[in-house]
Amino acid sequence: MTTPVATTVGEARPPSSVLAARYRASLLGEPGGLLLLLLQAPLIGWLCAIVWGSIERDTPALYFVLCLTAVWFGCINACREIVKERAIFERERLFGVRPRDYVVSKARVLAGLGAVQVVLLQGTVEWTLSLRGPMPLELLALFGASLAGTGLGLLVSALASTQERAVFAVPLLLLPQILFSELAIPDTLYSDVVAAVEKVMPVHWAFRVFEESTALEPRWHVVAFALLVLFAMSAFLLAAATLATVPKREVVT
Amino acid sequence: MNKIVSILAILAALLGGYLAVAHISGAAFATLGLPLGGDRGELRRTALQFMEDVQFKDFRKAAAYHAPELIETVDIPFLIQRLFAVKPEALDIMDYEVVFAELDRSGLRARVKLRVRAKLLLNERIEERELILYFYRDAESDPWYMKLEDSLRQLSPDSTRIHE
Repeated sequence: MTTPVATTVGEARPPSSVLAARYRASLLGEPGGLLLLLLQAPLIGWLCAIVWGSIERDTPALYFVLCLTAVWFGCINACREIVKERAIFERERLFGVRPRDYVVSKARVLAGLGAVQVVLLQGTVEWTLSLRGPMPLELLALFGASLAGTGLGLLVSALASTQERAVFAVPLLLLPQILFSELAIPDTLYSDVVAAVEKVMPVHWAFRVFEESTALEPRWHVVAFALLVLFAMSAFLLAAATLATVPKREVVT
Repeated sequence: MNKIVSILAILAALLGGYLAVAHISGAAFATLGLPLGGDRGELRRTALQFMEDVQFKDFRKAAAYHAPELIETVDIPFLIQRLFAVKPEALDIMDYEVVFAELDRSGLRARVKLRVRAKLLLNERIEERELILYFYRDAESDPWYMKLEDSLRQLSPDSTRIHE
């Protein structure tokens, strides 16, 4: 699990790089699990292609499903990653590993994994049915959604006491993304509370990017703002995950 | 040095993988100007060239995608007017993209669905239309010919059939 990464004397690498290299090595050491994580992206993309292929066109519901899937990928990839190594982290903390470096190392590797997943997801859909709007921009929105999902997952993982609890929390994070969205009720019928809660949902901002970039007359400043919010949200969630890792915890191994 | 070689090798592998995917998908992804994608790629390119000709009001060239014996009879401006309900001179085609391209089981008939965004100059309104272009060929070695007349033809009752 904790494959040591050799570093030569004098080669000053930031601690998060060393930790990320070790984490990457541990992920690559389990090719079966990694393949399963990667394969779910084309599988869901293929299912989307079947559903929307039957009407031979994309709809806002497809964009929403893609955004939700990206957040879900991030969440599910990350939700066990701190809690399962908590004992190791607590021991390494005694030797100077800082929570920030630890969380950043996780985020770096998981961001890479999320990037591959969103490319596979959208690529599979585009294979069958070309989506409206510029693909690189939509990929960026999906990557932002995945990154925000990673932040959420790492936060849950840092707070949870067991892996099972962390996994159980994922649906509780994802369901509000659907409930507080235009998929549930039209936004014209939102109460003030619903409108406010919707604004803290990563899926909402990723969906805004799709919605605006596919409009007949796109407002690019809205697209830029939505992307900015999405990445700011990701940074905030990663900072929160770091803070949640700071308190020392007794771990029975 | 080794690191640079490794990075270049990874980039080359990624580019090769991407181009392979673009080819197998029938040019569903950008082919970077390469003639990839087989028949579907060719159809996509033909459809896009046709739209570019229409966008720049080169109706003679737009008619050239038909079978040689039909070229003189194809009235592109009339067909465009039927699709958008405005005269071609009052239409500004802003952009267009292929939604999908598919062949039938025989490999002799094909259709390409396009999404066209155009501005109606009379009222400055932007509209989106979906358009399917039909293609055929007599044998797999023959070139593809467009059937725009069929694609945009207004249906009229067949007098030899009953319509009750």
